Amino acid sequence: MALLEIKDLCINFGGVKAVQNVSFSIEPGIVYAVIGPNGAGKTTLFNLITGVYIPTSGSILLDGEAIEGKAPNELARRGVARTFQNLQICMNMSALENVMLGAHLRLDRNPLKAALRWPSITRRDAELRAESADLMRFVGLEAYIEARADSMPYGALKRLEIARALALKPRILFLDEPAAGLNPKETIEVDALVRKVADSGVTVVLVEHDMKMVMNLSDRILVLDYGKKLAEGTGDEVRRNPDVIAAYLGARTSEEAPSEPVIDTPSATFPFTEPSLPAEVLLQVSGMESCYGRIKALKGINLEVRRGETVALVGANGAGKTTFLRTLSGVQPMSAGSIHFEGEDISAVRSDQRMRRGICQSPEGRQVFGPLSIEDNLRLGAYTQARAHVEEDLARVFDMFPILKEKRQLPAGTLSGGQQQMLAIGRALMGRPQMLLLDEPSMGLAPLLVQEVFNVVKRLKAQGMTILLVEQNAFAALAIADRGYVLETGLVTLTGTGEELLSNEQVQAAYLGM
Amino acid sequence: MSKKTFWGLYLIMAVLACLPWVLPNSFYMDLAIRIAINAVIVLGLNLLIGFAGQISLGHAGFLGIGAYASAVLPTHFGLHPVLAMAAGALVTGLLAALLARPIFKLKGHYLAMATLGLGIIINIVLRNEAALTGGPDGMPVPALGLLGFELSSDKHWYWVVALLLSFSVWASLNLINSPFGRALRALHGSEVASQVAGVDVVRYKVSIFVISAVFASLMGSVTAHYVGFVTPNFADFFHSIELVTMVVIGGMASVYGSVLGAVLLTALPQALASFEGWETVVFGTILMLCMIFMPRGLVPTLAAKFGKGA
Repeated sequence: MALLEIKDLCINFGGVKAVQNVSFSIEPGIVYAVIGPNGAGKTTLFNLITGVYIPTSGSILLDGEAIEGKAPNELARRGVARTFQNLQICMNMSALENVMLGAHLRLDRNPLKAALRWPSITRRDAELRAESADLMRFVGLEAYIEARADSMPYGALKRLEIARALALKPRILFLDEPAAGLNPKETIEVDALVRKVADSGVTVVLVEHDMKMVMNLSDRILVLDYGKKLAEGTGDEVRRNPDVIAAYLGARTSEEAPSEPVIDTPSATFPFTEPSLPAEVLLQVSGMESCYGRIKALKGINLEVRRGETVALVGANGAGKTTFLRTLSGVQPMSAGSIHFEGEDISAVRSDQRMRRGICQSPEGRQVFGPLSIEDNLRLGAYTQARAHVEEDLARVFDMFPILKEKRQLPAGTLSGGQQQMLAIGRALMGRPQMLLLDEPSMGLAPLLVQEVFNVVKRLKAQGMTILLVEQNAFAALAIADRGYVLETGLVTLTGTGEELLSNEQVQAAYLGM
Repeated sequence: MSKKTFWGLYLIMAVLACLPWVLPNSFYMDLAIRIAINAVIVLGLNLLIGFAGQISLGHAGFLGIGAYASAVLPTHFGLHPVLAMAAGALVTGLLAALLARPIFKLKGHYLAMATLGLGIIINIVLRNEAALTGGPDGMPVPALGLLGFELSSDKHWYWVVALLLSFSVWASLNLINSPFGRALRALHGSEVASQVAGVDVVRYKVSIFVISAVFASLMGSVTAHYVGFVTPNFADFFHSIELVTMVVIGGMASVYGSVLGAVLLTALPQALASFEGWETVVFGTILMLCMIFMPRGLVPTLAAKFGKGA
């Protein structure tokens, strides 16, 4: 009998059908992957099965028992464990305590006995401490057994979540994008870890964008698109399925296609930056340093951007890319160095004033105002602008991103990741940038949407916009950039034209940690 | 739990043991007793606010129930003071448990408003039921006696509350480092993460609310017996705020912070008495400076500075 059986599962948020009539079953002991473009409903499906959302209709059977609508803690009792796409770590506790929390249900939780230091409780806690330390070693976190959770790097926290889930001794483990935001080397390690977990007899259900990892690990794959089941089968079956290929690579045949690719819609232009004469230096950064407490994240960055140029800043996770942008926009204090913009020293200028001078940022992780409507989000981007040209700019942004116009009255939180990225870029454009800062615009997006985002960047570039693009997706970024800088552990290690860097082996080394 | 955790407890016990020989007169003795009583209440409140991350602005209400149980039940119904104290705690526990479920469907500001309202209602009842409670004038409380031994002198009271405080610090330290306490801290850190780990979040919030309410009620009874007279001011909104301030100044989620907060906020107004009309202004300024320069509270800030656990 199947361990988990899903029948006709549906959930609606307002009018949006996030998951529609999805049915599948999972045999015990396998690795089962759920894939699909961004906004396809993968995380929603996870939230339905693990009790975070209550389905509108349909049934979920675990070992033949109906579990739909049961709270997550009741499901934990039945051996369901999970991790989260956006980390859910208790930052107020130590790393080890986070793992120990996973064993909550296996412990005597009586508060009175605990307060009186009952011997059975302290003994069990000491045992659990040792067990949890073993689990941390199992997931490769031996270096962090004594650490506080809030002092750990992102990649380690991803594993800590897996360790916590394993402490539950689960029968079925749901991993929501375990490799998201990891560099290739870390991804390979997580891949091996998931294999190890599966080999220990735990049924694993996986949502992941890294197709190599999915194909490598999964026994069966479910493909979702717009909340519907598109295909299901083994890796080979899915890979050969024409519908799947269409969903991933574009060539969409379905009638509804809500997020039309914005490729080649020539109408919208942003002539805020007059296409310029032989480029003057717009931005000059010299010797920039910045620290988080005792850790120096930037160790003296030199960089320049000329008017009309597209400059890519690439580097692996933790190299300091985002810190650089934060320091540039003035959100993060600069401990040494200088920033000149349009020939003026703006090192001491407040962040809101820098924005008024035309440094507009589309931040990492989009940061749209979820409860506000799309139109209000865009209008907020024009906060510093004269009222007279707001309507005009709004029309331009809507021209450029028709999907935003269509949904203009909806709360921004209802948009999918890709659409939110368009909104974040649109919002930055509303500030009439002299220079547009794009922080990881392709992060967490499905391949088709990544392509769309880069098309948008190309079009902005063609219109003469000065762009500083920070990307983990180095190859795509360098391919469209005039020049690029490679950042490694807080230092610029290489610079050159996009093409030079693309063919440089050192760039690949910087990424793969070889 | 490391041995290190208990150093602070040993220090507190040592100080408590020496104080009676150092304090010059009964004024200071009285102050020490009030500090110790407040410290126990704040410990209970910090479990709720600091560790579990749930605010209560009505805790003085529970204190009031305990205090008035100890005043009303022996006076009007001839109940033994110890039984009266237990009855107060029971009523408080039941009331807290009954109200906690609907209250903890709320979060943040709404939770603050709901508990604030609860405290105010209790205060109004105490003020208006004059036939039983003496209304705004308050009423006397009979002495607390057990097995023919009556607690009357400051010295006796001192040793009783010193013992209570030491025990409460020890029990709090044990509790927060147990599976129960871990679940509390976890639901503060990430509610959804603790839920998928199997923690019944609502049940834990209710439990800690009831525990800290019962703590407050018991200590309300103790205060009533010690002072010998109760007024509705026991259950007053400003008293609730004072207790929360002790938690915040001492340090959220810090057992020793609770004790330090109670020491400072009980002793400081006395120490500032020489400023005469200006004492409240000076007091307020000190609190503001504390929060500006040590937003996490005294003990966590100092512990971080000197690299020790709290």
